[in-house]
Formats: sequence, C-alpha cells, structure tokens
Amino acid sequence: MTRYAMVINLNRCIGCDVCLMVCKDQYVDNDYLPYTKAQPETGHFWMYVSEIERGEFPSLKVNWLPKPCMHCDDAPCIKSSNGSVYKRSDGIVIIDPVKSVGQLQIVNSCPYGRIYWNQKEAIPQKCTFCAHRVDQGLTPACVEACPLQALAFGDLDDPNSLVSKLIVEGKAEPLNPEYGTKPKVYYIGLPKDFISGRVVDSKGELLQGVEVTVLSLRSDKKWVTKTDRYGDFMIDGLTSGTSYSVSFEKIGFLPRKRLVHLSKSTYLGDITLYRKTA
Amino acid sequence: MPDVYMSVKIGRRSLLKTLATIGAAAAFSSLVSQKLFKAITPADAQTTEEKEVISYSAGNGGPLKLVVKGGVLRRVEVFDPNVRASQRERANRKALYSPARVRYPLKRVGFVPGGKSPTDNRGKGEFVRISWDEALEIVASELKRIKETYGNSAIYAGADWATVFPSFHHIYNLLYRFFHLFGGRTEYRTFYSNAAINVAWPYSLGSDLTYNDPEDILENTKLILFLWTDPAVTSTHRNDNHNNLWLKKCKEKGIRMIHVNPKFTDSMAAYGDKWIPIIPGTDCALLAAMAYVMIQENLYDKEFIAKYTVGFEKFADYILGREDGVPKTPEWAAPICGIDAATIRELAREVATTKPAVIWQGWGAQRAAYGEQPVRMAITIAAMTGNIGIPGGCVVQGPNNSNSLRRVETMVGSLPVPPNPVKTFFPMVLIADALLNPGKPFRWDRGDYVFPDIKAIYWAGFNQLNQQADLNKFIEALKKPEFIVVNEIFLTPTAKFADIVLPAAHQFERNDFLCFYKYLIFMKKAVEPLGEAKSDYEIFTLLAEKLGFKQQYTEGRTEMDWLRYLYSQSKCPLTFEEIMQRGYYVFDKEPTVYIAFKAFRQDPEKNPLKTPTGKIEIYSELLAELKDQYVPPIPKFIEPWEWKDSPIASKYPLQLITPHPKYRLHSQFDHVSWIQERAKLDGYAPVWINPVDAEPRRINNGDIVKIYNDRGETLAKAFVTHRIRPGVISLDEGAWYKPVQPGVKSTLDLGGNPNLVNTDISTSQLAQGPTTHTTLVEVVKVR
Repeated sequence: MTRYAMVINLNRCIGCDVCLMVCKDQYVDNDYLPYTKAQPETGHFWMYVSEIERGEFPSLKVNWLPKPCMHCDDAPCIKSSNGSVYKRSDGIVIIDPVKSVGQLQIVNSCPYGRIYWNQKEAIPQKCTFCAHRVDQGLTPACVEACPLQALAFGDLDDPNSLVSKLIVEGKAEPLNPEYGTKPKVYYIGLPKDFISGRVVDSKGELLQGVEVTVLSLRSDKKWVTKTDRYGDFMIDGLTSGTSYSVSFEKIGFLPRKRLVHLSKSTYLGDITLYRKTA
Repeated sequence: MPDVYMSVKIGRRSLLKTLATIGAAAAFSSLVSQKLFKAITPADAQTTEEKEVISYSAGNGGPLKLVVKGGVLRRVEVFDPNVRASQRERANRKALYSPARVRYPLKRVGFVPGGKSPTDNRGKGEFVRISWDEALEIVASELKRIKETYGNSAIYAGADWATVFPSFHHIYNLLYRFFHLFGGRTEYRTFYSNAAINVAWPYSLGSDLTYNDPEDILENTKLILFLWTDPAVTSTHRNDNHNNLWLKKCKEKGIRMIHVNPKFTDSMAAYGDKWIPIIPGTDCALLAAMAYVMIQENLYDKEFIAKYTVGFEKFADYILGREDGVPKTPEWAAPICGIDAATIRELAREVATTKPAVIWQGWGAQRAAYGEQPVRMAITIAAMTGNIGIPGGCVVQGPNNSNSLRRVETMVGSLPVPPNPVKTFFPMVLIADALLNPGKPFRWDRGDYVFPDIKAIYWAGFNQLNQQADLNKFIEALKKPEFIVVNEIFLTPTAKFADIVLPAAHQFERNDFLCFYKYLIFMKKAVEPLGEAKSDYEIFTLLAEKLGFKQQYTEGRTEMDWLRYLYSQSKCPLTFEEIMQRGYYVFDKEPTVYIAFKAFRQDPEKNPLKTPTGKIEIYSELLAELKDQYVPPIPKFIEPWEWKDSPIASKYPLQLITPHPKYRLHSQFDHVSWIQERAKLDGYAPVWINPVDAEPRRINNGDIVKIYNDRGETLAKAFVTHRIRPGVISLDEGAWYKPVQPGVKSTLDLGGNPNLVNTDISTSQLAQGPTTHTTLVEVVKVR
C-alpha cells in the first residue's frame, strides 16, 4: 500500500512564496483531467502561505505557515459531497471536476478553509497533491520548487521515506488536531508561545548568564535557559491560557520570581536584579 | 497641508470611487484600445500541437526551464534542484502575457515631430497605434534633427534591467553601441543603487570593490554584523534562492548573525540571532560609539591599524571628543540611534572580540543623507577589528555577496561597445535638476562639471520615472525635452511619458546566452514575440539602417551570427551546435576561494591598495582638500537634514524607509497578476507601521492611508506590525506610479510609490547619490 503524506518543516520555511507561485504556474490555465480543471487567474491559493508574528517590539518571532489541502483520512469534504469527492487508495483526496458542479457546500465543509470556489466553472477546487505528477513518479510541484527543502512528500507505509522518519521521530504534528479529521499534512515547528525579557542590574548594566526558569503551574513542566550577553532570554514552546512562574537567579544577586498568565507571546521588558549586600 | 486631491477638484466621494475602480488591469488609459492589451491564454495557441516543448532559459541570473505547448508558454520550471528560482521567476508566464505588454508601436496623442508640438499631454498615457515604419521614421528623423540642431550631448540615452542581463541582448550594450556609433550621448553616472559606495569606497580602500567569497564566509566566519540589509529578500534579486541556501547553511553552522535594521526583516526572522532596531540614518553614530568603546576598552587591533591604515589618530580625536569636544560615547549615541547605551557597549565588545567577522553593510545606509559616511565608517570598523584580507574577515557593502557570479571563468563574450564620443553626464539622481537647469554647474567626485541641455531622451528597458525620487519634480522636468522615446516590453509609468513607444521583445522571445554561477545557459527563444514586438537588437538595427550606419551596428551579423561569435570567446568545451542542442553546460570545477585584499594583508608594501598612500585611508588627504564639512576626511556622523530632530518633524513626524520589495525586482513584475495578489493588500501597497504610531492616528490593520509631505502624497494600506520600530514606517520602492490625474504634477498617487514623498537632494557634493531613506512624512487614515 501507499499512503502519501506531506511534512512541512517551519524551521526551514523562509516565507519566500515559491511554493504558492509554483502552484499557480502549474494550475492556472492548465487542466489536469480527470483530477482538476484549470485554476482561475487569481483568487485561488491551493497552497497558501500565511505569516505568523509573535511577541511585541522589540522581542519578536516571525514564522510562515504554508497550507495546502490536508488530504484528511476523515475528510469532511467527502462527507458533504454527494459522492463527488473521493480519496484515492494512496490517500490523495480529489474533487471530481465534473461531478462536483454546483456543489458550493463542499467549499464550506473544510474546517481548514482549503477549498476554493471557481465561479466560472461553478466547481469547488483545491490542492490535488499534484496527483498528475505523483502518477508519473514525481513529487508535487511545490515540494520540488521549495528552495530550502522545507516541504517533504512521501509514503507513510514506507518506513524509509523521509516523511515516515520525520513522523516517527515525533517532531511532526498535524495542524489543528482538534478538528478530528486525521490530516495527512504534518508540521515541524508549529509556533507556540514564548516568554522573553531582558535582565539588568540596578545600574542598567546587562546581566549575562542569569538562570531563567519557567515552570508551568498546570503541568509542572520546566524550562531553563540563561540570558545572553545582551541580558536577553526567550523561552519558546509555551501554551497560552496557562500560568507560569518565571524565576531569575544569578550568584551574587537576590533571586526574583514573576507570575505570568500567558495569553499570547509576551515580552516582559527589563527585569532588574539587585546585588546581595554583604 | 491641504489635501491636494481636493485642490485638483477631486472630492472625497469621487476619490473613493476612483479607489473602488482601481485594480490590476485599471492602469491603462481608456484611449488605448483594450484590444492592444489583451492577456494571452492557452486558447491563443497557434497550433493544436499537444506535445510539450522544453526550452532552457533564465531569469535574473537563474536557470529556468520553459514548457511550451502550441506556441504558448504553459509553465516555468527549473532544471537544477540546487538553484531554485524565486517566486517572481515562477510568475514569469504572467509577465510575458501581461495585459501591460506593449504589442504595437505607439505614438502619443498630440505629438508632432519637429520639436514644436506641445508636451502638456505627456504622461497622460494617451496613445494611438502606428506602423513600425512610421515609428522608425519618426524616431530616426527626430534623433537626426536634434543631433544636427543641438549636437549629440542634447540626447540622453539610458538603460536599465529590461528584465534580465544576458550576454548578447544586454540592453546597456545594445543602446550604448547604437548611440556611440551615432556620435555619442549624454549619460548618467552612478546609480540609484549604490552611488555613495561606488564613489566613497575608493577613498578608503581603493578602487577594488571586492569581498570574500561566500564559501569562505561559511567556512571561517564566526559573526556577521548585518547593517541595513535583508539578504534573504535582496539576494533573490540576482541570485535567485542560491544565497538563501547559503544563509541557511551559515545559520546551521552557528555563525552568529546580528541585524542592525529599523525592520525585523525576513533575514532576521529566518536566520538572525539578534535584532538591533536602529533609527534610520544614524548608523554612523552607532558605529562611532562602537569605535569609542573599542578604544576605551582597548579592544581594537592596534597592530593592524599601525601596519595597514593611515589617519587613525585623527579618527580617534573625533571619536574621543578631542576634535569637537563631544566624546562619541554610547550615552551620546543612544538618543540619536534609539538604542540603549548598554546594548551599544555590548555590541561593540561582541564585534571586537568575535573573530573573524564580516561587517556587512547593505545599500540602505548609504542611500541617505551623507551616505558616503557609513560607507567609510563601516570600513573603519572592519579595520579596527582587523577584519580585512583574512579568511572569514571582510567588509561587504552590497545586498548580496554575488562574488559567486565570478565563478564562470568561461563567460560568453558580450556585444562590443565603442567609447562614447560625448563627455557630458549628470549624476543619476539629479536628472530633474539637469533637465530643468541646463548649463548649471555641479560637482561630482572632486570634479567640476555643468549640466548639458537635454532635448531628447531615449530610454531602453528603464523605468526611470518610477524610480526617481521627488517624482512630481521629475514630471515637471519631463515637459522640457522635445522628444522622448522608449523601447519597452511593458507600458510602464515611464513609457506613458514617451512620445513614441517601441514594443520590445521579452527575454523568452529571443535567443541568447546567460552565464550564472556554474551554468552556461543557451536561452532558447521559446515563443514568438507578442503582437509586433521586436528584439532591441532588431529595433536598433532598423534605426541604424534609417540613419545610415546599419553595417557598423551589425557588422553584418544576425542575432544567431553574434551568438556564434560571442560563444567562440567562451572556453566551454561544447561546440556551438552542441550547446544549442543541449541547452546548458555545468562547470563542475570548483574555483579557488577568493579572499579580498589577501595580498595586501600579507605584504602591504609589495601589494599596496589603490589609494594615494597605498594603505587603508581612514583619513583621506584628497577629501581633506575639498574643505567641505559634509565630506569630511574621516568618516563622521552628520545629522541628516530630515529626521526626528529636524524642525519639520513637528509637521511630519514619521521617518519613511523604502526597502527593496520581496515580490518585485524594483518596479519589475509590479503589473503581474499573481505578484499583485501577494505584494499588495487588495491592490494597495502595504505600509508597515508600528501599533505605537497607528493607534493615535486611529489606523487599524488594513485601513487605506495616505502618506504625505510637502513633496507629494501616495496611498497605501496599513500593515500594523511590531516588525518596524516606532517612529518609522516602511513602504517598498518600485510600486508603479498610478496618478489620479495622469500627466499632472502633484496629483495623488494610488500606486503607493514612495518617490512621491522622497527627496532628490543628493547625499553630498561627492557622490551625489540618492537619499531616499531620508524622508519625513505624516500618515492619515483615508478610510
């Protein structure tokens, strides 16, 4: 058996939009029947790249999130489609461009918003994982084009495929698993939330090597880091809606503790440590 | 400031109506029949041939593979996974078939040859289609008339990208060869890009403007201090994504990357370790304070300074305050740069003690008031840290380290260009001054000159109107010439100011060679020229024929004859027939890694620099002789004429920067539908603004805003983001000028072109470079 999946490594994505543009070049004006009719000139992004900005000036992180169709194993679009959307035996979800005419509800069925309406043809359209290329033994056009190889495509049933390895290593996770659709697109490095700040002494001198410990008050999970030469620290991978205790320790200084209820990535600004007096 | 669009009697309501109607295709005048500007689709296939035909080709430096069916381009692919084209190149099909393509020769409505017809209509974009013969006859007779009446210096001929720089159809060579055989032309000197670097660098390091190879930096460098550069974006301007792969390797290797930039750039986001958000135009204050710390804390390389430089003592006098009583301490620099003193101090220590390091200054800092200063100051910092002439240590002053382009030792030859018999020129950014003030004296690089009296302009592949600062002034100046002609692929904002527009072929519509990195590519003509478009070579050949020097221009060679001739100058082992058949050749031999100024470092006496003293001139006697306080002999921080501390800041409190766009190459691709979808927000140029500045102006993300000052006004859509420091807004250069009233000065621009508000005051009398980052504006919500 073959079960195709895609793994998108956000740590490698630089938001260059090549995947998005290659997808347009592949499909605009070009039919690939029986899988899809041509994409309209503009308005469709079968591969969409959004920018995610976290934190606040001047402590930021920016990531980009490429989003094709998730080719779900439990696809809501199939259920909504009156038999016009099907899953191939290799896992690729295809909207039949003939049977799906007029079925606008298919567009609305996708919780990920990955299906577009082609006004002229009156059909729903989306990423096909480049089924016409896969049939020829090629990878999807976006995977081939990504300059930093942030996209991997392959067979989950082949334990030696890159996608299998990445998923087995446990680094890859689906986007919005709460939708419960069993997506076949996985992500490495999905942005979580961070706490950052800068530690200085009472004279405003930057303090390097301050041990910063973040403790989740929900799970007792602990993160430890040290401030760099600019007094900066950042602890990423935290979860909003959780309270954390953040403690600062350095030999010769009085320790400090802050409680942070995280609602989004947060920059604490300057935290002053005071020298112990003899 | 009163609303200018009110004063030209376009009320708010009709403005909103105008806003509602502008879109991708609305940029074309109603007088030009829409038939001339129809998009091409597979339905236009010339044959029913179903077979896909592959042609190897190239974009701006990068290899491409074109897939054609039935005479129509269907896809743009790549053929080497190591060099993956940028997003623009992958949208090139929509550029080739853009509704903005010029398909037929056009004549401006109201234009009559002879130098007498009014020019008021210029820029309105109202054209009629004429035949090639009529067009060539007009251009030839006008050039002849102007040459005979005023002499060749009355003709300014300038070229730029015209989409790509290949071996043969290189637009500079084609245009300059034509005019130099015709008796000469007035030319521009120094570029919008890097005028201050090109002029100021030689005063410090001599005329060799070189850097270490990227392979060396990856191998040996420990730290890169990026000053005002975003190589993740700008490296794609010529090198496609080759440099992004390189940057990724640098990051994976743990090379520390510090970004001093008002913007949290994509380079910072993707690869950076530390962001130091600086107030634009204050780089020299930061670098001076770093020098102060290095001197005070004894962190600089005294041995290097003694052996390889001259004038450090005078620089130290300035830094320590012995010259002007003001020590350039971090506390002095902090309020100037908007960076706290402790950070400046630590940055100085890190840069001074992490070796080897690269001081990598982009072109941003020098494209500002007194832009010569950061050029020479960055070199001084590189010298103080000993990072010159060693593996892993160098000073780079460019948007990317394109040294790898030199790898092709086997370059194909290029079209020979005889010398220009005419000596008149103007510094590029002073074009409007030159047009408005013929005979006026000006200085440039220690020389004294006068502006020529320009009566005709010939632009080939050059959207200069769009890219010239203080656009409203330039529009006024463009009423002056008697004749303007362009060779253009697209009806650009510049082409709209022409009297005659000659339709030029796209790079996919002609045969050529392009050498890039390790590739020699035969750019095979993939499709026929659109409409009646002709290659620039053919256009100049036909004009030369009308003017009686066809034989000299062509030397009896056709395009293919030239390609064969130029290819014969390459050392590529394939025959001409073989390379045409195979499409490309890959040079596998790895060249030796280049270290800039290595010989000088090894033996400065035997291998002196090309400076008067043969050493790194921190102090320049040549500049001292100028006795110009704005061109000091040592690099200094000089307060910009327009910045946060200027009186005019009370009226225009925001500082505008105009970086290179991610999705365009300058103004190229702005008209392309797929690029517009991404580069713009609902058809508007995005302007980055910090929430601190947006909130008091009641500007929300996605609001349409007007950016304005006394020079002009332009519309954009607010992108409210923490990625820009408070007090600064960022609007990319290159958006096509889209005036509410075409051809009229001081009308509102709907296109978001920052040159409406930028100034054409030059850096100084030395380089006379552009200062587009020295601009104060105010921003107001329109809706």
